[in-house]
Amino acid sequence: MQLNSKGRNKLNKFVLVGGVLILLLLVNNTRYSNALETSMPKSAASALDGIQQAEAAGAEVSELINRLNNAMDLLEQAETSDFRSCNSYDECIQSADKMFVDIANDAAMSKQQTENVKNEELASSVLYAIIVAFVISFLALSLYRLGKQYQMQRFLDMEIREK
Amino acid sequence: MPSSSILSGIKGIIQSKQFVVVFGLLAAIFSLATYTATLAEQREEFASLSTLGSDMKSAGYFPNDERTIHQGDKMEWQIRIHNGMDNAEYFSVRIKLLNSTQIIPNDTLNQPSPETQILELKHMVTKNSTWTVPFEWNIKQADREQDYVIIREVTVNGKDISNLNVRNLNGQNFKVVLELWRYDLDANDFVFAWTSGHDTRSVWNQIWFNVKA
Repeated sequence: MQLNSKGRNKLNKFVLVGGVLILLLLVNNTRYSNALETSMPKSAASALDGIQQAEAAGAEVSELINRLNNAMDLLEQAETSDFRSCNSYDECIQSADKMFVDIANDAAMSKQQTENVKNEELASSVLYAIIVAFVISFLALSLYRLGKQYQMQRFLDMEIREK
Repeated sequence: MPSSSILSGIKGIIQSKQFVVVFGLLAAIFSLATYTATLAEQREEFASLSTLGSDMKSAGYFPNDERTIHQGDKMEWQIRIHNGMDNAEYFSVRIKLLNSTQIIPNDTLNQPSPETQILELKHMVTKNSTWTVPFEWNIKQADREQDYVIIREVTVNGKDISNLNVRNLNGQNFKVVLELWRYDLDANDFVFAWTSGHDTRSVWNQIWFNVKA
């Protein structure tokens, strides 16, 4: 009797763990199939993000966008089995993936270069502003002092006349 | 005037408290103005979708401008998407063929039509630019069953799309609905509505037609 009850307990635990595992597997599968519908591969999302960041930094991204559209077209060819510029599903996916990685790298580089140029431009603009401020302050003060000097000279040159 | 007195004059000005105050103020104002000028201008973001006829006008959608079409009649439309967002955007145009009772997108709730698309066109568009894509279609097979006309197969941009079953009484009031979706990296998916300032926006078009079978 004792052995039977232990055996039942074990069986219950086994069923419980098995059930949880199957449930987890189902949930994961559902997520995966939902994700397959419209979400893009990680490399594509990273390329898209890279382009958007580069553009936000002020970089010229039209060439990168053309390349991204071409890579997306390869993905579509793979998904629809309509092979126009690649020969098989694997070839399309691999080519697209490589293009996405290159685009992400180029976008990051473009962003960095643009930021460097912008920082240099900002620094030189601020320097120019400081120089202009210096010159204006100096000229304004010089004129003020000259005016004062002139007034003083006029005062000193005045003659006192008795009526 | 001897050069030494000029130099001492300049030195006197530069070392004066007045100069330090004026220069400090002007330098701060000019630097701030320079920095502000480099900041991006805040503007309202938008995206637009327009469906045009064969002459790139909002007319001439159907042969002979007749809203009632027949099997095989060719429609040559152009879809134009303008990206007025702050960034390049990856757009998707989802084209749906609906009958008069099927649910269209909801402008108030910014929800898309729940019906399945017959075609999806995707493209990344640079900011402040327009993507124009041809949308050439015709009804390849439409059957009449009692009082209903059923669209079974259409050809869009050279591709046959079959297994359709869109039916309407007497073939009246079919709709082509075009929805504009944009890819949201945070959601890792296309989204139908997006926020612009405090508002939520969505964009879609619909064109009605009748079918004679």
